[in-house]
Amino acid sequence: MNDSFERDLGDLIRRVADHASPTLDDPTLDHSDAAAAMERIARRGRAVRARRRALVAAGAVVALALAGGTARLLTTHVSGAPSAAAPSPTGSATASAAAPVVDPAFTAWLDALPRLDAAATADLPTVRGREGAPTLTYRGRTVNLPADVVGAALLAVSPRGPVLALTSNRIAVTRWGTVDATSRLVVWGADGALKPLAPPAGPGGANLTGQNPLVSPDGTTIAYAVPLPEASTAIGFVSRWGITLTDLDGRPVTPRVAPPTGLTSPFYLWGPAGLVGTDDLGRILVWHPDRGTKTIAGPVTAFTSDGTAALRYEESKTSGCVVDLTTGRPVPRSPCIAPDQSAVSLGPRARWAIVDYDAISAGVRRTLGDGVADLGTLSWPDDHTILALAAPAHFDLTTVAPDGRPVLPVPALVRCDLPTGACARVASDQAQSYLPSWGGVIFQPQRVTGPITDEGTYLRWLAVLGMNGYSGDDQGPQLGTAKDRILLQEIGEITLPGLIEATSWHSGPGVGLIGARVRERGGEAGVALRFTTRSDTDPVVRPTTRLATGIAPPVFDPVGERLAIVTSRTATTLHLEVRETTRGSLIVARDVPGERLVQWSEAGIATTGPDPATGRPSVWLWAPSGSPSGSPAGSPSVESSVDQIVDAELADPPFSPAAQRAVQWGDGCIRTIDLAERVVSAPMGCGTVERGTPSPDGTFLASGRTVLRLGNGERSALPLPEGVTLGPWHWTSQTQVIATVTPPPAADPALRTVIRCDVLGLEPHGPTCGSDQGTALLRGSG
Amino acid sequence: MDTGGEPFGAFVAEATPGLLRTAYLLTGRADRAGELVESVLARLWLAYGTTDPLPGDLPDCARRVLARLATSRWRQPWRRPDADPAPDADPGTPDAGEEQRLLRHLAQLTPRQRAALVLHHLDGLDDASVAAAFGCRVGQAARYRRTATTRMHDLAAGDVIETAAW
Repeated sequence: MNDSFERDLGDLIRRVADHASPTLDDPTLDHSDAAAAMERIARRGRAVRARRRALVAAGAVVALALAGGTARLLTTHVSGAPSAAAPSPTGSATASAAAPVVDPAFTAWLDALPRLDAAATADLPTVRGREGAPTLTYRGRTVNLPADVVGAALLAVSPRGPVLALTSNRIAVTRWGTVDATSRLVVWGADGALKPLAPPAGPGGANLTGQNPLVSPDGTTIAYAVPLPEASTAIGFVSRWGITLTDLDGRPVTPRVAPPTGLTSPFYLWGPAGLVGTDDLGRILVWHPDRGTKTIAGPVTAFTSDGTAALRYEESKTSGCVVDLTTGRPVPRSPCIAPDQSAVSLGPRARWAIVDYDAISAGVRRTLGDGVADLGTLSWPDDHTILALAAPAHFDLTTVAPDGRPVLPVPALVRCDLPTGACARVASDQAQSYLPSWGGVIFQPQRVTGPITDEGTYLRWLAVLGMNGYSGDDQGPQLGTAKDRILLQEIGEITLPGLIEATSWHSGPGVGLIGARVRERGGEAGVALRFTTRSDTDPVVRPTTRLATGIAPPVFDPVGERLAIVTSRTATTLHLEVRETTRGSLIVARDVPGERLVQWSEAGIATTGPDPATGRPSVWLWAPSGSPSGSPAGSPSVESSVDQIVDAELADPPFSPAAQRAVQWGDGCIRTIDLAERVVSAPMGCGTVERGTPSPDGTFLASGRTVLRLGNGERSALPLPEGVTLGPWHWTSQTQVIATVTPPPAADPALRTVIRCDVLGLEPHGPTCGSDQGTALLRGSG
Repeated sequence: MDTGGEPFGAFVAEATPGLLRTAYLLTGRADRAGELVESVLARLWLAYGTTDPLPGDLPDCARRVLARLATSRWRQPWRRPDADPAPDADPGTPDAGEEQRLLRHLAQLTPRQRAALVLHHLDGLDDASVAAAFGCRVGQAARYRRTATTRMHDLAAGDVIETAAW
């Protein structure tokens, strides 16, 4: 890439904008009428007027925050004929073609997750199996699913059985975690059959293309949003929605009280008080088919997933911003958020709000790698834990991995604990995919000042805010070491006498796990530590528990439930112990070939060393089947795998965090080996290079003061900036490598300043390493 | 009608075309661009609808609101950007393919990367101005733009980073 590309890109952007301008700028707009229309509408709402006064007084124009309904204000002054894309007056399937993309079934699927998870994480329907033979397990029952199903969610439990949304993989998952309408609603009957729910019937008996289906809490009624006849602006945007109710057979259900008119978006959810949505003025509408409509002042920024409460923007600190949807009254002294923030999700009992989406999405990126984009949804197993659905940044069904494996468009699930911000991949969910798992990451909750700092009980909210703030991908390293101390950025430190280095870490809900090398009794030892934070509102590390001690540092499984540690060795064999990470109880132990314990990936525990028979470098995988609960179920097996690398010149090839590794072969080429699939990639670069550390996907190789970009059989070497060398912590994501700055700080030469370098934008100047962007500094022992 | 709204009406007339251009590239669809600009103007109206004279920096303010809305509005599921933008361009025009390709590639970026790129090239904003619009640090804004440029380059070359990562 060079400057000419950027110039060409700029030219193209301007050219496209110029080309589109005549279409965009409607000459029929009467702007004086626009002002009048806005004024009229503004006068109608007392809350809006009050907000306007307050904001004008504060001069906080940009901070003005209202519900999305205000987006409709200008539609009243658009004159001229509707566009050709306007829906037909019948509200039929034709009409829906002009509607905004809603992804109805997927929305239902996502929206349903909280309800499902709120029951119990253990009740999560689990889809297992790939490539044609998936099964669904829920509460001990199992059913075979259609071959294309990759995801399932429980919407409600009806008298006929659980109502589920099944999602197939026929259409790509977008970067936003949305999929097409290939999800369908089914009832899992007592006979074990999955019966599809009939779509609602429209005029003439035709199937109506309803959107955003919501299932009543009792599972007997389904509500579909339908565009109203006048539901279009001049540019084709649907601005008015109606509602159609059906039973499980698709037959119309007539409500006792008619639904409200003027919905500017489909109802969000169906809670105990009724269907919940907002109107033009950002007011909350709660419509119950039997009890009618209740209007509650807004503007609202989020609802709890169970439809019991909403979070309004700050109107009065004395009354609070959380409103009870059943009573319509605010919860006294409940928290507010800043006017320029949007709450993305509100947890049960409104104890936590996810205020900045970037904060979580960055966590997912760090958990799953940079190839994973933002979250698709959030759900709440309890009031301080979120389950976040993450989808790969972009792919379609033709996407293949570098080694040729097909990549399924399956979202991945991560679980994050809010007091600590710690996230971990949830391995047992439908996210049985080829997505790699890098393990967890420790966020750094921060105490930030803001409009809700006046009461200590709200610090938990601030911790969420402070996970990243607006700088979604601007997290530095979180773990460091100093003399006899392990530093956990922002949340404290752990004293560990004789500490040599921290070798690995993993975080899960409420806990963190650390592996370390220490000097004990005249020799070196490996220890596994577990820590928790003091409380939800005071995320400070408290004394740790030593889970295990061995002769080498431990490795943790991808979800942090088990650890493996070497307790003794012979010339060719390691004696490994597998322990659970709650109390350190032994699950199973076994001798495994190898000289070194390197990693615990989804494929199993990897060791390396010479083959006892041939002496050639080899890698072994051991997949212990013992359960974390302590019952050594089954008999562990030892698999001799990846035998393709017997020709490798490196006896101890460097492993990446993604269960892959880069290795140099006798021909000087670099290849990656996928432990799970035992697949060796095509050469990614040839020629002699010094030993390096591969990035998680093997795209880059960090070596000394150089970063190699590998691909298409070629490689390009790019130097790090002057004064920067690779440091003790290397790859924090697919594209970010940790480096150290030299010379060390004069004030304390024993400590080392560590920065993060972004290797994207390698050409022509090499990685950018910066503290000007606020990249966190970390002091480490190196 | 309150005549105090006239200056704001004039502002709407003057600012709307430019905002629509930017919004179109941020959303990839004409309808969503219109919706986004409506939201921006509505918010400004609530604060400055009857102010006379209007603040001199109102256009900059509008751009900031636009940037922030464009990077946050996708939180609402039915308003998320599409990976494949709707074909607003007439496929018969010479630029249609180029336009759709650009929109498709822009849709591959994160909201902030996309906004940083568009605001820089289309509205001539430097990194400091983009940072002000986002409410982030200058370096972060620069990183958004650099990363976006690199990804656009890779996409243009048919080298989709995301797929290579798997």
